[in-house]
Amino acid sequence: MDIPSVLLRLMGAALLTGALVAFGVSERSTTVSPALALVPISQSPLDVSADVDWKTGAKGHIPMPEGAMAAHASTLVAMPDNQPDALMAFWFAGDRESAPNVQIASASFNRATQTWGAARFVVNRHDMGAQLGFGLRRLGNPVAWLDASGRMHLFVVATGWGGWAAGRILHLQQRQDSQSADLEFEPVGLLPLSWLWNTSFLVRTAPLPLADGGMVLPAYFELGFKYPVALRFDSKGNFVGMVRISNKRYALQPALIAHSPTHWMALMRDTREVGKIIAAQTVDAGQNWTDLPDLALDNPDSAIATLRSHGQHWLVHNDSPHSREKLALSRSHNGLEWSTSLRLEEGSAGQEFSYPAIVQTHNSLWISYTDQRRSIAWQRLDLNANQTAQNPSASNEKDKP
Amino acid sequence: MTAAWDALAPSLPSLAHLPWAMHVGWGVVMAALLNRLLSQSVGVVRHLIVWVVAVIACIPGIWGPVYWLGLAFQTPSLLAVLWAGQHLYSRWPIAAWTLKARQSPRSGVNMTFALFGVVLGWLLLLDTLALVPMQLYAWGFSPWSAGAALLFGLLPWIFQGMSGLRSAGGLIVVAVVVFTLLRLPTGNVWDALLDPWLWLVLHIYLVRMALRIR
Repeated sequence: MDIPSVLLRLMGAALLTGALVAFGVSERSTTVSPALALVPISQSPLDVSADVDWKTGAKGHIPMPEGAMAAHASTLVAMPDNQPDALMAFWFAGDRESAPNVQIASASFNRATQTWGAARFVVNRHDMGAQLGFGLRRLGNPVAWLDASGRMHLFVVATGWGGWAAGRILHLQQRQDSQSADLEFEPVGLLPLSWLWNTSFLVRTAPLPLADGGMVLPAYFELGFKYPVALRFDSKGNFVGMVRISNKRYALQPALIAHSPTHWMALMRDTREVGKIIAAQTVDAGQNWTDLPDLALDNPDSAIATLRSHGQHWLVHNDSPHSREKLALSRSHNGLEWSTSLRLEEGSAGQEFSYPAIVQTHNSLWISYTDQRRSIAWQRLDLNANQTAQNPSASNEKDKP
Repeated sequence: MTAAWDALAPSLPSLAHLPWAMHVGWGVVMAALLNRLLSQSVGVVRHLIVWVVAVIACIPGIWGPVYWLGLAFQTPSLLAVLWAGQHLYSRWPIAAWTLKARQSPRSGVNMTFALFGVVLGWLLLLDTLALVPMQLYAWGFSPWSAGAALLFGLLPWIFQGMSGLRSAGGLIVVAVVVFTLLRLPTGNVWDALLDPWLWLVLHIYLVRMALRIR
């Protein structure tokens, strides 16, 4: 072996490698700041008491798109005050779950008329497939988010060959020239999350907003082993990275709550036979997670939704051990001990009220959920009248930035 | 659990590049696969079939095979495409006219690289299933991983000179450079170097080599 030649080539290889790394670093203009959660700051003394309570102010069903026989997995977004609509809902609808004609539907709640507008389809798998250059077998589980500039992003499960476990997360964003009334989406792409043909990551629960305008999107892996992950996005919706949440192999659909900018909890669906809501926490803004003991709350292998409001954590969940016929709103100060605050649905055997979503607009909580897999029900919860009268400042609190 | 947020945000490929990359990638891989399967048939027929397949791969939309291959398997890795391309070129009549082609090794992969590929694939699979504590796939978004892969590919050149580049090392170098420029197929260097199908083929290759040695 010609040692001088080898050394010369070694130096050349090192230079080439250094140049390639420098080019790679220069392409990444975004430096990542710590992921500090946006925790609502409120002045109300009610925030530190256990007396805050909600009552149902209004309820009904969101209109369905024409011809849709089935509906499931709704998500809600509170719109900025300068928009004519107070909130928007997205869900998947079609002949049945996984039917070839299932699309992502949307409807908005108008501030002036205080009614839901007509529902329409906003994401079609064939249109998206044509733009991406490859097929999407089925769509489901939309999760919506407004970025720092007010642009709507939609994260949708789009499956390849196979069932839901062959799902991938498709990231869509609002077309620049479309408004909420005629919302149109364009694909950003599939989130690159796994080496195995990028299967089987799915999304379901709402993002946790960050102080920098970005967010943390909860997601989960479902093929055989099941585990939850947190995906971080910057203020423009650029994917930043993924962190595993739990070592438990049966936890799905994490819902995030923030105690402080750096101390968060994830509450999760349990796929075991007799399930409890699973919990994990991070104290360093999502970089490292540790499992906590299961909560005392039953979980019949069903999705949950969480929200922080008035200094407390609120949880919408099916609170029966084996069925989805009951739906409750529970509250907690610490995320560990929960008490039922309001019964949302008390169904009979065989009925299903599931896959809830919860969001706050001013002094109301809005909850949507699947009703019998046929439609999306909604409820608006208002503060109990005596509490609002005692403390009018409570009505000024907002969870949105 | 290992953190993946304290690094630089990944640079992902432009959506505009993906459709053509998918057509070219699958077209080359399908053509090479057919060429290999039809290796015993008459040359003219084989070449005709290979060309027809390559043309069919260009058909966009639901009538083209790439639409469905992408649905199931996304995009082949750059290394698989380069390997398939090298296979096609080495079997093409015009290749025989060039000295370089005659000197090309019959196989684009040597055992050492194949072994590394198999081990990497197993680690990535275990990572996908969260059976290892580190998040190896996330490391693939780092420019340092691309640099390490380039250095790895350059090892035969460092020790053997230009002849070393006519091994899988040369293909790895080209794959890493194309990946760095275009971020294809996903912005993750592991996806550029190894896809699950290539990983399975490497297993077969290693088994065959082991049987030959015995």
